[in-house]
Amino acid sequence: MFDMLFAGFGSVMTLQIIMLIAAGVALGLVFGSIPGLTATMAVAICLPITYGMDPIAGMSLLMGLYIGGVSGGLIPAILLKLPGTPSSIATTFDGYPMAQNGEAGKAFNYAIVSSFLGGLLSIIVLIMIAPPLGRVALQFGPFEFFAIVIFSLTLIASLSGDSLPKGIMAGLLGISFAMVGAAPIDAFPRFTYGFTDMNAGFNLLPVLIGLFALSEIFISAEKKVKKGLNAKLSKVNYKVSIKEYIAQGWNFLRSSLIGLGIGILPGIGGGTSNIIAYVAAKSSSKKPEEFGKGNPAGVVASESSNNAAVGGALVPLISLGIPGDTVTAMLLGGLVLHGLQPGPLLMQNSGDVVYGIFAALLIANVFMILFLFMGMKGFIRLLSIPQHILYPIILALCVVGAFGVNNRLFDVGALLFFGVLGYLMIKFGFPLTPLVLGFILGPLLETNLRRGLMLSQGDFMPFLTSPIAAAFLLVAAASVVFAIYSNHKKKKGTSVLNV
Amino acid sequence: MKSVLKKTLFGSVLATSILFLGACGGDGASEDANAGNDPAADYPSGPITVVVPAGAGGDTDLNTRIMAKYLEKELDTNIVVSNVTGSGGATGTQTVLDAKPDGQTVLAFHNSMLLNNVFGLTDYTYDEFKMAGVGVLDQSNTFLTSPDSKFQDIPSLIEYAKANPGEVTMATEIGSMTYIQTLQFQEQTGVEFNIVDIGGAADKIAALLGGRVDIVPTSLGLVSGYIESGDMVPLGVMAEERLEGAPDVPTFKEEGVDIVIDKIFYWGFDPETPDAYVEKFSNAMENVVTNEEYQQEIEDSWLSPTFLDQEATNAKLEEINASYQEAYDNSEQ
Amino acid sequence: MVAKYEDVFSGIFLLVVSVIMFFTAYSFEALTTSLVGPAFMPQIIAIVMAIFSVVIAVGGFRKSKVIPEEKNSPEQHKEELIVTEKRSYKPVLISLGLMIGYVILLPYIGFLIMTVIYIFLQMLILSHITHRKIWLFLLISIVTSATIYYLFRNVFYVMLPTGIIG
Repeated sequence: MFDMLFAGFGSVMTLQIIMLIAAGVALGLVFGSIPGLTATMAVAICLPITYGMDPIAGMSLLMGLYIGGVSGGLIPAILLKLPGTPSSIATTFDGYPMAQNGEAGKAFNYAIVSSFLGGLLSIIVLIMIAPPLGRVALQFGPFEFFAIVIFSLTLIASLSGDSLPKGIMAGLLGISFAMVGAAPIDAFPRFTYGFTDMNAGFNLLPVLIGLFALSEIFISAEKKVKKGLNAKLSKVNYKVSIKEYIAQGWNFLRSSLIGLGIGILPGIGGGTSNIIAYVAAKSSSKKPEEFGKGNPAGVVASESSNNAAVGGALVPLISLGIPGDTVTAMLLGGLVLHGLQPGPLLMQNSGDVVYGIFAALLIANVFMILFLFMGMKGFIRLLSIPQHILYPIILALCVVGAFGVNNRLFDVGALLFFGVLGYLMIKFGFPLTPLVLGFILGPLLETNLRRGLMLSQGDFMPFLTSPIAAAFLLVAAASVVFAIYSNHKKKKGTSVLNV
Repeated sequence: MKSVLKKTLFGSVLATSILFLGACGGDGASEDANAGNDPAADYPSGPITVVVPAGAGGDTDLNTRIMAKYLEKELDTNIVVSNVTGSGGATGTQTVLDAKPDGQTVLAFHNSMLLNNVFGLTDYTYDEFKMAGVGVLDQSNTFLTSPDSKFQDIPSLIEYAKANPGEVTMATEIGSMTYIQTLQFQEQTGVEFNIVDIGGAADKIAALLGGRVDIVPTSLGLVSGYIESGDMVPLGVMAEERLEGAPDVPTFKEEGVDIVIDKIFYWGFDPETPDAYVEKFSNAMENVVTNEEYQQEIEDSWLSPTFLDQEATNAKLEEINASYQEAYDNSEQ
Repeated sequence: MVAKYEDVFSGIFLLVVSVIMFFTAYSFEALTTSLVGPAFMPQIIAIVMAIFSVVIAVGGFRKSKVIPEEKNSPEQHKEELIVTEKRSYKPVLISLGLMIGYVILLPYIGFLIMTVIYIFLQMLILSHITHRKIWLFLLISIVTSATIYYLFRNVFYVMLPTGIIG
């Protein structure tokens, strides 16, 4: 294996490929960091360009884009409370309060290092044990997915902030919005009220940036701000000691494994892994009340899990030819177009390319940490740009991003709609994150329920008799009981999370 | 700030190289096209947008991009592939009908558009478009099973399925090509499967490898790796003749089941588009299909590079549509 | 006062939404005959939504009697340090109107011109009166719009609407 990896490094150690990886990471970071533009879009835009390259060069560029795109989201999440991508929603919870406390530099240090290590860990796992892990992923069918989704939805309880009913309601609204458009399986258009434009439903990107970014613009319109975003930020605290890093060791490991696991399961993706890792870190902490107020553990959990999901998503792709998310689906297309046969024999037949990809991933990960550290001071200085100049530009970019999803103006309209909804939700005290979680998970819930019932010919029992499904449902039930208990106990207690 | 600059610099290096690559594609041809009173001399007047109503990376997307790459040289313009997904392709097809009929927006799609109409999800079908033609045929539609299943060929499948009605699990995507194939197979052989919805090609592959389903209908080209590795066994292909790339796989016809299905990848314009434009586009497609490089690229994925002109495309679509309608009507009774 | 009864209002509104949802779902047709069709999930969700909207409304009604007004919206009392003018909903509505106009006119006028106009006006709305540097705003809006437009249309091939200049 190590000689193969060595050969892989040999094949990417040309000036052209190194430049491509660096350019990919840089462009990915730009796309990831701008709210509205995502890793998916970066890969989609560059995919056709790689067709003219040789396979290793083309795939190297795409790997750089992927790693950069997932990592770039931490910048606006920490600085502006805007998740640049779905993968960095949870980074805003503690990263932004840290920045507000004058610890933007510290938050960046934690976020960048955990991104790097989370990515590294998952790439190493990918290189070492992709085939057996891929086989494990195959064991997850509709019953198991249904149970995992139920379990993930129970996390809403921990994300609800002040009011559990409002959090649940936000989650239900998310599930409802995801139902608009063609129904899974039957494709019957639901809740479109005759507008054919709505048949395709809402896309995650306009929902996310509408809720988080547009609502912020409306809020900022309420109260005119005289200075830059925050005057306190001029004294920036950078230092994170080795001791402080080590204190996050267990948190880091748990979050990376969560990211890896979620990444491997096709279809759930990085948008949920960061939230799950965050909730796990919070509920296993001795001081959960510190989360949401600038606890570095929250940043570490979110950022290590979303980068670990990258290696995870590549496991089924490399070992079985099965893509786990939209980005890996495009990478699969890239492989096919270069004449490679994705599937169990990919490693055997095209080992040179596969190990070239591994080497490119490792190099891209290094470029990622380098670029982010080099740019850190510059990013923080972005905060001195006044809100009234920054926000209109962000909105224009959000419009481009929403349009770019499907080249339709409908998605731009949806962006506006969700912006207004997000603003009203904030005003009426509803948390936003459960809505996004419900929106992502709702279709998975319904599709897997219906597929499961088709497989079992209408029998509900397999949802309970499958060991994996039963285990997840049990944990879900336990966490509901726990949530009700603790909600009851500290009824007058303060909010843990204001999102 | 310096490193922000550095990043922008990297970005622009990439950007320029992209521009450069784009520029390289565009020379040659063009002069002879302008001679005389060619009514299509002003076409194309800018970059052409190809709407693919399927996600990036799938077979529809790949076939379209390969064709687009060669068409760029033939038509001497940029061709931008734009993936417009949603409701089984209906969103993308509608986008083309909504666009200006100036020939700058073209649809590249396959049989699914007919199915959307047959299943009542759209009120228009292939005849709503002015077809430019077909550049690729997929004749490798197949049924796959796992190596340890109780049947390893079509006759034993029929026998087993007849003895155990509703037991054999068939992985499809309701309303798609694989679904109608399954209906046709049931109709012809009198068997009854447990038809389940599993999702797209990748989900089907995972379901078969994970042992959750017995049969997966898909295209051979998408799964050649799994056949080579022994993880999957093809039962047959729904073609007139055996495939060159897979001479060991019998046709359904040989095995006594008369199902021949071609998945055709056609290009169509809004009906108001001037004939001369469509014709010019069609001729360009024909030139591409005769290009040996193109043929090689298409054959690499077990497809057949075949050109059908406007008339042949319409005839083919009509034939397919009739067979789908019949299968659907039969299943409704 | 809205703040006092905000939960009552939102609860009632969501109850109405869930009822509409429930009855809309009756018209959904299934392509296949199976136990759980396309109307199953929407109706379950609508029922649960109805229950929680009642919980929210009732809770809000109780709270409005017990707790004095200030405590009702905890979110509103943070981050006030740097605010120099009183909060007002007028600029929010103007911004919304501006965005709607931007999106509606986008396909007709085109991305480039509309974005210049939008960014410029939005900057005016968001900025404090002492910070309105008209020429700077104009310069920024033109430069950023042109950069975005050129980059996405010509380099990334995202076909942003050209409108009247195309």
